Amino acid sequence: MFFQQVVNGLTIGGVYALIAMGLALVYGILRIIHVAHAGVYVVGAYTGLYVFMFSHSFVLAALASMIASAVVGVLIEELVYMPLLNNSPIISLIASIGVFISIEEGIRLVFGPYIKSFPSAMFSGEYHLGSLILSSSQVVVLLVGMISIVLIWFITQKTRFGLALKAVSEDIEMAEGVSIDSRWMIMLAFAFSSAFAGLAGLLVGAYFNSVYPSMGDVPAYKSLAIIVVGGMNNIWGAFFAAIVIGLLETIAIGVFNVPLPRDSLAFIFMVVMLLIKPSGIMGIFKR
Amino acid sequence: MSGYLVTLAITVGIYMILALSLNIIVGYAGQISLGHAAFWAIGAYSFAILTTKYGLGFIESSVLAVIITTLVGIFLGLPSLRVSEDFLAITTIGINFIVQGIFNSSDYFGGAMGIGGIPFPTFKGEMISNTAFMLMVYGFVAITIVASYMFKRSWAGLASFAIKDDELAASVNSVSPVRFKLLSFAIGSAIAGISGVLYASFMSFISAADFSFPVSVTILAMVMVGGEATIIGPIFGSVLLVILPEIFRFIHDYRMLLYGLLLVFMMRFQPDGFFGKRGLVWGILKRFSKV
Repeated sequence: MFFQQVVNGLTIGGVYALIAMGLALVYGILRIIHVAHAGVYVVGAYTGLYVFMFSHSFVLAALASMIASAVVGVLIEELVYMPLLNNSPIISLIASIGVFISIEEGIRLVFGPYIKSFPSAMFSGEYHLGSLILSSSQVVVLLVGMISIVLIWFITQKTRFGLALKAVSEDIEMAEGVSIDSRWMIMLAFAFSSAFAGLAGLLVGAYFNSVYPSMGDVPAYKSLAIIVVGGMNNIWGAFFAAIVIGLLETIAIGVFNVPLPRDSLAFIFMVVMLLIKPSGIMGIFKR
Repeated sequence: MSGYLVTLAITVGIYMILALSLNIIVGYAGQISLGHAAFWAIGAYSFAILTTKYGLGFIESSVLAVIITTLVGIFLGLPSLRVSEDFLAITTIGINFIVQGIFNSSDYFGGAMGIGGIPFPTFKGEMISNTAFMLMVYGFVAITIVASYMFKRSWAGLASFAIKDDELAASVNSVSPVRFKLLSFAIGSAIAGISGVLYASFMSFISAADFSFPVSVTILAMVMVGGEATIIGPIFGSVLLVILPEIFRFIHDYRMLLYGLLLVFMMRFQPDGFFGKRGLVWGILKRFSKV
């Protein structure tokens, strides 16, 4: 029972990580709280659903949802965030919330307000490891999540692109000084983080076998709590925080039956964290 | 005035008080708060509990509710003081979710069923009319406007503006940021408490869903669309954002979409709001005054 919940927590934590890491990356570069990131996640889920309906291929669906969400992410950046860059952060935050509402409502108007599920449950069957039960969709979520996180690690830590991103997030003017095209880098960063948010949308859709317009509501605000716990612009802090919060929620609700609503636990954890260590989870390791 | 117009006017008035109270926190002290619905909720819930569970009268419960909201506002302001700007925005979102979660899941607060049967104010044993209630609401609007104006002109207001402009410079000039941030949180939540009392009493039924995060966004949008740090701005913003959905009731399916787009376009083209420094209205007025 306990281990079952640990695995469930890891699965959900891995998906949170895919969203929150992109959010931390974007925050690190533009200092914008990108609430609309969760809108991109819904776009990914819907694209994946429709491509899967026609092609019956998970790989195609995943690719399509990553591409579509990358395009949406870049559009948001070009049309909304870049022109607002010189205003106070609260203005881009409100614009971002506006974009998020518009995306969700647009999707609701086009595709209808009802929960849609994958035509034939995308993956069927269960695996039994002792008392542990893993549904095959859970296995796929875990595997794809892990592969993506390794990929994110490789791209941000081991490539020139990752190095340039790090430079831009440290100091845009200095990065320009060493002839990094920061405009282009910001665009790529949005494409990159949005692609993984879209993939996360598809994975969640497949895991719960349901896709609906307001599915972004909970991740939108929970991922904010996660990046605060992780230390705002720290991608790996966001990763650890996502796993910790995923585990914490699942175990608190599933094992200890904590009577609080599941979705406020992340925020309670965040407030406690702010009181103990405002610099975030990575701050603890650094000491 | 027809009953519909009176109801609408009361709703606008309640939101005006709310928007003006948030303006003290956001506009004057520069503290981004995205959880203002939580303070509104605390005012409304304290009033509802005091009247329905403990049978207190309208005036006693209102006064107690405002005191409770102020104290909770100060208490919740404390963790918020440790963080600034973006962290503060997220922390206040968190406060909204936590407060709503507690009201929604605790049986003491009626849980998901909410609290019903909240009394309407009475005069000489008889319920007052809606028109009288409306006059009372606008009395409070007037008090809030005067309070905002006085706060803006007082030394505390000047200190808050100084902190908003440059916290370090203000603290070097021995203006304590902690003190004035807490003061603005206290005043802002006290006024939000008044608005909560009026709301609970007027609706006679409240549930946690009335005070969700989107409501906080709406309140902040009222302040920003009108123009923060002005007094006319939040008033105009609350009129606009309450009336517009009523006018567009016939396309009610597209209402939220239009609302989202309005937020984006406002922030994109009028980031200071209609009455702000670079706002449309001041621009027009200036042009006319030059001629």
